Amino acid sequence: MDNILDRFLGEKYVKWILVLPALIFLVAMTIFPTFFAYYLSVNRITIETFRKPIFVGAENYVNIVGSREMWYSLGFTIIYTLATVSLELILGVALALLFYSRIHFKSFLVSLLVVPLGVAPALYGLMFRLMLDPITGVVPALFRLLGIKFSPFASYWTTLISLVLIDVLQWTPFVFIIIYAALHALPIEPFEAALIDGASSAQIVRYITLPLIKPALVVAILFRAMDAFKIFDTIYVITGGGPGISTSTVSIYIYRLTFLLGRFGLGAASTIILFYISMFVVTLVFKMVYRGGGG
Amino acid sequence: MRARGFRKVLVNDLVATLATAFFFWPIIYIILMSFKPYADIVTNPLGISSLTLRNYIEIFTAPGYSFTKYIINSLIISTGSTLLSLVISMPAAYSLVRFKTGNGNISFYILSLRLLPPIIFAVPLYIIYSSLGLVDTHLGLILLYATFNMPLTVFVLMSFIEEMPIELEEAALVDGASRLTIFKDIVIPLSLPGVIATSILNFMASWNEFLFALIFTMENAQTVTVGASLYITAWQIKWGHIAAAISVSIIPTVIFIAFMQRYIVRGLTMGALKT
Repeated sequence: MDNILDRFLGEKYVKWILVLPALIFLVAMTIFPTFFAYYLSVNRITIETFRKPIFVGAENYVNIVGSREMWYSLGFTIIYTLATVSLELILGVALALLFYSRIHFKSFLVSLLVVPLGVAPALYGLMFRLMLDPITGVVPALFRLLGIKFSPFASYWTTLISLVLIDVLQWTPFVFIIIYAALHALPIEPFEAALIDGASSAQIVRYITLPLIKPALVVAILFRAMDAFKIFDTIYVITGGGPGISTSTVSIYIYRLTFLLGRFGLGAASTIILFYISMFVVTLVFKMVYRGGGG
Repeated sequence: MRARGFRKVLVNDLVATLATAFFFWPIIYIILMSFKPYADIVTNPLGISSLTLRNYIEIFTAPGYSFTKYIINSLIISTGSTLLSLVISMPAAYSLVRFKTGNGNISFYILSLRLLPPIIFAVPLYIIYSSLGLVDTHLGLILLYATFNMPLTVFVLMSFIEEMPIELEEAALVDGASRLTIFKDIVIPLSLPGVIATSILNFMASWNEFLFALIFTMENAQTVTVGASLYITAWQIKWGHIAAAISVSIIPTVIFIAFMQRYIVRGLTMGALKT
């Protein structure tokens, strides 16, 4: 194969010509803006004065690192990520194991189960704004039937729990469908051997099924974790990050600082800090998921 | 033994059906809500006394509502960004699969764009867009979506190209065809099903996007996700209108996901897992 490739002059250039449009596009839309963000981050810039920035050195970084809101939002994001991903993982795997057994109308049920994955997270959040409304919402109305007065956004804890459960309702199907597909791709021999040896179904799940689907589990966890970490849409349309900053995620914090308060210099400094935090995680992700490169 | 097996199947059926209903009911509830008259929504959250199309008629025709515009904007922007993303990504995906161009560095960079929080890029891009006059334009969002959907496009296309038999290309090389001819006459036609699946995934991602649409549009280029959420922050909240707006907005993606069963896992994991 390599011999054939080498015989054709220009092969070396062709491969670069093919990626060139993508590279130019990415440089213009992402790499150049990243460098521009460094420039913004050492200046005092608002949207009105972005043509006349005032150089302030490291002031913006000092402000961000010393900002209680930044660290609160980061902490909230991490709590939210851990809570949603672990619940979705447990429920998703349990559902996938259930659907692995014999069930009537299985493909019909599966096609209904994946529908939430097609709904825009912002619209999914809006749906729950309607359904959780204390007066007209269906969920508080159901609680009233049971004689319980339930107002989801009245306290911090009920708000947090509601937000986590909304994420779980939308994204458990994500874990489910990945694990479900992985289960159906498993070889049958290890299971036959285990049955012959008289293993219980709990033992089979623990010692055969779970180890065999580990690659799929890793992919599901990493994609869910990164998406939960950058969450904006759902929470923004439901609480706007409030009351106060109590449900503010990192993305919401930077959005408010930059686009509602117009502090572009501070916003840029915080994106650069977030960039390094995320890049650390992304590098780990890539090493684990796409080991060896190229999918 | 047989009876016990039968009962187990029944229990499994029951639990599976209930679980499906649990995850599916919010969507059904909102669609039903969109057909409820205003008085019913306010006083009777659990039941329906009559059905009406008024909510739908009003979001499309009442003065002050521009839902038709949001839908047209979303269609233009999603279609445009999907086409742009495909045209750029297809040759890149082929190069990355066949030649391992950049030894994994380029694919790593592209993947990182899918995983990094998009707000990181929104801040500097907003200033750049302001000075170029791209804020609140269709082109502005098309460029943004084409960029940030490129990881999805490139990686899913790569997963399809990897499945293509290499023998055809080798034979064409032996016959003296150039790489570009091979790309044009063999790779593109053979990967057509993959290209179509990728386009649909891409369209869905653009249609559902919220953060960039919120930041980079004011009025002209506003999309359905932002448009629908504007109703809720308006002075007089009309729940029925929001429910109708949500129902209309989720129709295209919900239909697509039903047809995309085979490629859902590949799309969700960007080709890392295939089924």
